[in-house]
Amino acid sequence: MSIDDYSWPKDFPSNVPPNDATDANGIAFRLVKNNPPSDLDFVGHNKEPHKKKSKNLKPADYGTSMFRDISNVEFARNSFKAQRNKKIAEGELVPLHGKISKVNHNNHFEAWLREETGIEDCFTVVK
Amino acid sequence: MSIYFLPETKEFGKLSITKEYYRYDVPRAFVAHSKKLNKDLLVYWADEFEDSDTWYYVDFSNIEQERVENGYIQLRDVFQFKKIFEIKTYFDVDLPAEFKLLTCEEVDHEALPPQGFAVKRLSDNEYTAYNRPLDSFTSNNQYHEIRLSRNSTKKGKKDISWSSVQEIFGSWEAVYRSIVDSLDLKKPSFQPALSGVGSYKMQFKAAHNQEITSKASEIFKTLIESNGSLEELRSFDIDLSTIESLVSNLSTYNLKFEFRTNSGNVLSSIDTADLEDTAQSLNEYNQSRVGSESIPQADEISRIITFVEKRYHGQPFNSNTENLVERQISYYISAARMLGLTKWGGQLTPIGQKLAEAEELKEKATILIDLFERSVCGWAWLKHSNVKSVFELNRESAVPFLLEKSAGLSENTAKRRAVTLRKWLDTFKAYKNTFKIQTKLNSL
Repeated sequence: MSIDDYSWPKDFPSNVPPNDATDANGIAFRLVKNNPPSDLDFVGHNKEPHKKKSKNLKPADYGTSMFRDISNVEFARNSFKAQRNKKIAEGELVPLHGKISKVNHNNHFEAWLREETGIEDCFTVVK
Repeated sequence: MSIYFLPETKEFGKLSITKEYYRYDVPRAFVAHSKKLNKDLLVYWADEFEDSDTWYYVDFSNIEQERVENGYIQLRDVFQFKKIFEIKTYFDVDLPAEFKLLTCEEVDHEALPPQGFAVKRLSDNEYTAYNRPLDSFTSNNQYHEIRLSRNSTKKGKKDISWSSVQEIFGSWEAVYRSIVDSLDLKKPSFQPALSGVGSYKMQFKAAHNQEITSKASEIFKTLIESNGSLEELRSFDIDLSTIESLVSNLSTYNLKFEFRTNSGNVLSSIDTADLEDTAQSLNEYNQSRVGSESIPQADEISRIITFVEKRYHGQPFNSNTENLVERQISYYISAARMLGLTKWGGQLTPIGQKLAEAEELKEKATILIDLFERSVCGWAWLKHSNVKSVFELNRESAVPFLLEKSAGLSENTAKRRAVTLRKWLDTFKAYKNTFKIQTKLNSL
């Protein structure tokens, strides 16, 4: 299957992913509930299974947060009660998974993910 | 239709995000503006459920935002002594958000920003959050702030005089000491810590700051609502002469007094224009009582003599030289002032110099006995016991005297203060004969 066979979520508006997003690549860390990670662990909040009627959302609000550095994902875990029992998963992104934003000062970036790429299989719980 | 993480509620109306401090999938720590209330709110992700998230909302003034974004305080400090609102937002935005004002017991402290959670402003609209060691913050929850400003009714922008600042901060210290006494706290250190240049605000670092801040804001709330009645103020078990001193100083200098947390959150704002009746009631009440500052807490008379002698010779008298804690040092300094041995500025009075120059101990004792009998406390005790000299005082009358005549000391505090009075009396009585001979000689 080629990249084009993997569709973007239907709720993505025309400006998502934004034009300056680049192909997904490189090492990424994310907090997950499941071990091994499941596809639901990569669902950002404004995608299925939840209703998507929100208005005035920014492209970032459709993204799934990831970090390049483990120390930054640890901060994300420690800072919020809801995250403290989650696990840190590490994986390597490839263009098939979707597009990503620039990495910011927190080593954080948004990943706009295509559907059913099996991204969960590329991640393993490391901590 | 609202955004799921930014609900529209009856209480806050429509919200808009003005600053995003931290994002994970969606904004998780941010500033929201309520147009309806015309104010900013700090929003922090509290918890997550299968179908919803909960968020803590608190008022967030511009001063607090400045202090957080400059890294002066940690984000958690903003939640101190605040009304915390919890809003539950369903992922299904067709379901209305649930709004709740939390009681103190309902606040989940695990859900607040953790210790060390700091925010940094990177540019006009870009922020980041990171973790910092607690001791790296300029101010923390061991600090409270006093801010003085001119009453708004007064036209013009005259500078606030330094003498008024000294007097009012001094009054606050006396109120603070009285609260410490009433809570029976150990090692209650209290020191000026940070001062804003060009303004009259000062932060004080205080042991047990949370307890004291909580009680002080209750006292001030009661004071503001007192309407001339002292009944509720008396129930706080503090020396009401300290409150009178604060109110009268504010009134004299026509200043407004704000009591704030270290984040800048205003807990109490005292405007004496509304307190005329209460000021009068306080004055009448305290007239017939001995203020806390007039009751000695320095147990050993010999150390008062040491202090005066060291002052005379320009030698240091502090916690290192005397092997005492700071609080006890302040007791001896206060006792010397209370007896009239030193002036407010700390210099020796003529009688202080005489004491320092007296060669024999019995001569020094004679001076001290005489000074005690003339002091506010000594004189009130003599009157209360209906006797003419300290030698006729019964040591057991110290507690009933303090309970009846002190301005608001509790039984426990009165018992502690009575220990000092009894020790002084015992010391004085040892010089009874010397004193009588000396008095006779003086009268010849």
